[in-house]
Amino acid sequence: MKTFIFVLSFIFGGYFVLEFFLPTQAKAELGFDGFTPLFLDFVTIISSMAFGLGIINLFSIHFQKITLGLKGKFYSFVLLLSLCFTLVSGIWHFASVESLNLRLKFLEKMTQGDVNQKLAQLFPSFYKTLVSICPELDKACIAREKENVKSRIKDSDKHFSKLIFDFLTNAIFLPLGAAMFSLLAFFIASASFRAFQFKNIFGFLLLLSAVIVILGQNSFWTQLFPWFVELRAWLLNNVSSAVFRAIAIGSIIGGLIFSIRIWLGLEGVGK
Amino acid sequence: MSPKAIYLGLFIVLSAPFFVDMPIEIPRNFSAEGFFQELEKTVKPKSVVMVGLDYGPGTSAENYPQSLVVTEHLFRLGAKVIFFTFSPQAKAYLENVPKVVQEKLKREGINVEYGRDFIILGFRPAPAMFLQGVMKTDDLVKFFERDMFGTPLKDLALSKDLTNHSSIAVWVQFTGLVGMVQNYIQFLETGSKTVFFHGCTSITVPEAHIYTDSGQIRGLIEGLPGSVAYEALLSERFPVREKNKNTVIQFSSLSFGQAFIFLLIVMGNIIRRRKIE
Amino acid sequence: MNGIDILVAGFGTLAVYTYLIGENRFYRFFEHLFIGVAAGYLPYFLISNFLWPKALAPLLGFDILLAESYEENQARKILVALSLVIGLFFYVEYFSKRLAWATKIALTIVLASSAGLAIKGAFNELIPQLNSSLKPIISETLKESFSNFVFLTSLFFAFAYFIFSFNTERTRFSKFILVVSKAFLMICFGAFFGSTVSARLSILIERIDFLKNQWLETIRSMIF
Repeated sequence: MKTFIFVLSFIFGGYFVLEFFLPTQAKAELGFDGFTPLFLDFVTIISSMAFGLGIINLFSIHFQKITLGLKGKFYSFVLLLSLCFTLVSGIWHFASVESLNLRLKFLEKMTQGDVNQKLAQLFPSFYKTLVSICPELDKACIAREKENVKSRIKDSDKHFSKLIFDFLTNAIFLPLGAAMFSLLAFFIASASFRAFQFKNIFGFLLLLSAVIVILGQNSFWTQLFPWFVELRAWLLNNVSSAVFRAIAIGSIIGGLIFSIRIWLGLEGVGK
Repeated sequence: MSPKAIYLGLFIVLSAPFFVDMPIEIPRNFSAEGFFQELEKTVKPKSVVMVGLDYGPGTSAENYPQSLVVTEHLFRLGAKVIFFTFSPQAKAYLENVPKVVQEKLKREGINVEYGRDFIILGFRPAPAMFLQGVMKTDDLVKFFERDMFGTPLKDLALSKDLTNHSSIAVWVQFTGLVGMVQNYIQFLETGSKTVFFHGCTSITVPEAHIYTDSGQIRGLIEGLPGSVAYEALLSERFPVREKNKNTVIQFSSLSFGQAFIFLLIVMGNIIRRRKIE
Repeated sequence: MNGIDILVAGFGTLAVYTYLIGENRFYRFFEHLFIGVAAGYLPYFLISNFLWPKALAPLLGFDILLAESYEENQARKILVALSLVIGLFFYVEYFSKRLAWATKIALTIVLASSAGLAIKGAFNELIPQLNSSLKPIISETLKESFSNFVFLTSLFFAFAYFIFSFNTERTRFSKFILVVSKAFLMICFGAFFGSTVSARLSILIERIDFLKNQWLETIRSMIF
């Protein structure tokens, strides 16, 4: 198993490494450019399929709380209920709109003439519905049915699944997400008063730099001292970015080494 | 001073400009000026621009005004814009940003149409793979496939201008997510193969500066102050445009807040020194 | 947003702010509500925006309806089917411990591909950074020369601080370098803190804007 994992890791990692290092002509001859988008789709689909792991984890923890009657079971119930409502309403609405879209496309293809039989074989339920409405399959009837489907697609915005999903998005998800993050502003204010003191030269430099960056964008301060804007820009461009570049280069090299280790099977799953 | 008093003080200080009219002057912002000038130079009428709205409610306070003001600028320059996101939390903004700007420009008699002037691709997972795919594919229409509403891209007028990555003139991205901008820089090979503009939150400003210095980011908007300065530049360039008073009020609130924080730092240190003495 | 959305959003926002007074039931209710909604969001998007159009619809044969001139691409269908099957391997351990090794296959493919891409990405990011670090100390203007000198000095000292390969506290000179490096790092971290203050305040300001201009206005219009 270990050998198989190592070989798999080497092939999949090696594809992109080879794709990066090979000269353009060699890549064209080997057909890399045509295959890469397919390969990327392949890997992306696999990684996307992991979405359920988080949901299963949430369910197992909170369902256990509810069934065992532990403390906080009411809140666990609220969490699972809101999760189910969001998922079900979102997918229900999407499925209903998508099926209407596909029906519309089916009707458009039917009016094109020559692929009718193939479409009838591939989508018997769509064909059956159409025949029940337009037994003669005449163009005028199909055109009327198309308009009917288009208006149903427009009306789907008033469907209860869309209303529920929009409510959960606009009333809960977006505002509460912002509110959670905004709590940090209060803690920063509190920290500014209690924790940011200069006991030594390093603390003083930290505070000085922070104050320059804060006040360099402040409307009142820059009206009194317009050169603060340039000072802030100079500090960010020359000192702060130089130090951060050193940190970034170090972390890029560290990341590069770690990626090579994963590719060669020295880290990660197969170890 | 108790923490609760500080919280209350901060809330009052930040709320004041919303109730009392306090006109303030917008200070210069060199990054916003650079972004504006570079965008004017690079984007021509009918240029295809990819705009990534990679943010959620946590950073929308800074990224949303940036995306509004830059989208307006792009539409005014006659660009064809393709909106997308790598953040599943950005759906509301993907629909909202083009709609708000479209309605605003309609009031001025500028007609911006979905399908012809802009399209919304929607959410795409795995940023590295998607961006790599864009650079590798010969047929962007086939690669993108459909828009957010399920319409095949080939049915939309804008797709007529799309072949491969070289048909995209400019990439613009707004994000507050850590590590997101690196995906663009790495896989779009910004600076050498693509032109990249970035709107960041104030937190990632020091980080973004290393990329503007190396040319990997052509233009940068820094948080809320950046978008306010950009608004002012846009109003100067297009004097008839409707000004966004709300952003200016938010900026004056920010100035009050910054002054309050500065005061807290000074007071905290003075009180501590006195206690020690 | 309609009136009910705004009302509920406003109450939720204030509920979150009650945390500042102390943890309470009001806050916990909305917190759990938010987590549930946020957790349900990603799967919906993945399925509707990616998995359905890229994987499921072609596999079920719906792409014939979406293509102008349809050509059956069996190789792509097989690849998509294979990727979906391998993707399901993530969940095998929940059904059978004996087959839990299959999870490793899916994980390896994802990790190894990401690592391969990261190797490419690292070079694309690193080389321009190194190139642009080489700034001329003697430049056209004095200001530029001074700025470049400060830049290179900061860069050198920041690099020097992170050298852990050998003992940097042996001599007075190396201790001096350590002290100066720390000073430059403190300036950088101070700039980060200053930027963070602005960012956090902006988010709170946006919420205050919502409470004043939308929530209070909605309540006012309902009462009067």
